Amino acid sequence: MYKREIAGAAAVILIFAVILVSSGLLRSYANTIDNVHWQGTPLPPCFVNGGACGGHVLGTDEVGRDILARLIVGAPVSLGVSLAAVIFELVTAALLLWGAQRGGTALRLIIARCTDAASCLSAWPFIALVAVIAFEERPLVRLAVIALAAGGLFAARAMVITSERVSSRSRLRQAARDWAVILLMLATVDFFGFGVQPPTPSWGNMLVDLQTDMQIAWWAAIFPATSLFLAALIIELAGRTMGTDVLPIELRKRAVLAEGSGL
Amino acid sequence: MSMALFNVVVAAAVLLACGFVVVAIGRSASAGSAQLERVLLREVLSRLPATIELLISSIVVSLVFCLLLSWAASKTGNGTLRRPITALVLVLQSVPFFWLALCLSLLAAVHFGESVYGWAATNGSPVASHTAHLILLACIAALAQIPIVVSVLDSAAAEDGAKFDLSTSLYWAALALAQRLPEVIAACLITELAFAWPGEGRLFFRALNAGQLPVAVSILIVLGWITLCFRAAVRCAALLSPRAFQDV
Repeated sequence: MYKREIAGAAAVILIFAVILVSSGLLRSYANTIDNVHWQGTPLPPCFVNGGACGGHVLGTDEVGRDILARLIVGAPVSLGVSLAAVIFELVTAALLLWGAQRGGTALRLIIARCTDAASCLSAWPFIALVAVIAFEERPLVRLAVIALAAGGLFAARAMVITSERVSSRSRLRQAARDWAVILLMLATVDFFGFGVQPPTPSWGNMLVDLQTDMQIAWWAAIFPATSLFLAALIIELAGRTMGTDVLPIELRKRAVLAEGSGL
Repeated sequence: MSMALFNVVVAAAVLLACGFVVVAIGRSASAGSAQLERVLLREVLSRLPATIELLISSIVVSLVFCLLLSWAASKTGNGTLRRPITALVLVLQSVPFFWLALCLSLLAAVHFGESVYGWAATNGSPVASHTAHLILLACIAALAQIPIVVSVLDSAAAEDGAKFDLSTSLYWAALALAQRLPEVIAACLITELAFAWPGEGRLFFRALNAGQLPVAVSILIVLGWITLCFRAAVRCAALLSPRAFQDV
């Protein structure tokens, strides 16, 4: 009955396993500067200038670090944090709905108004603010704080479609869309310097020198953005195979019925 | 309707209370002096018109574009335009908006010269220059709204058949934008940062970097209130519209 979902979950787990193993193997290499070939300017990708690439398939960044290795090491950071945020979002939304259904009128109203208020906050500024308030040097704790904040905020938004009339397939599709949105949103936070801190690479913080890179080493500005684009596109397309998009219909109904959240 | 407005007021109060709690918690991390904070809080209000100007302009641009697209799609009855529109939505949904905005700002700087970055520094720029910049930025900020509006118009068209009705489409597009306004505002803030527009985006970024938490929190709350007001206005319009009840 759920063959497609099981196959999808297996594919995601397999992809994550491959990425995790590769990133583990390349972790030290990703931050190593190529002192042999690098002469102060970024090395181009091999398909642009095979003689000058020094064996770096996608070239190097401005300080001589291999871009492909950094993309692979940054993949579990970007994809993993956003996936953790989506899982937390689903759990929080389910708990809020359960609490609202079982807790009586007062609790239902409190949850409804709080989710209304939270759903008004713009995502990347909110996450950036949380990251600044809970300033944490340890990378794992920092990532956990960011994932929890993103999950909590998107749980409030997910309440819009969390109701009995929405099928589980449609919820899966919405979760996939949220994964793509959170992936891009966390990349924005990383880009502005409030998320994952260097030297840990993420697809967002690899674009920090975007304006300089565009002029002297376009590959350093293009490949991380392409990775983000392809990842978000694949997640969105995978979500589209799971069910119909209920969000537009639910938005219309709830707005007409003057309901803020799905309670 | 009174219940809907009451809900909005309660949500606004919750937002404000949360803001006070966050500022109280984050006080230890705040590096700025109280006097500087007061000056910056005044700046939050003085920069608000620029952000609202950009927000409204981008909403108008995206509405015009999406309604034209929806009208064109309904005219080509056999769904010829459906696939390109779906592709456009997929691309705009998946591309990192901050990257797109910065690339476009670089492109604009090459085309229009330093004026794209430097105009904010020259106070009292001519109205024509201001309008030209506003339209340019509105078009870029609108790129983030197109998938939101198109998906709702697509859903409405699928339910109601291929007919195009301007008022109905406008109505559903406004509902979609009201619900997803935080995303629209976030895109406007990024556009402001990329193009040095003197709105809340730059102030927010500066406040976060300087550890001015009250300023950053107040910007978030003010923008949240704008969302609540917009939603309240759209809900009131929805409740006043007899067609809305017929559709549901």
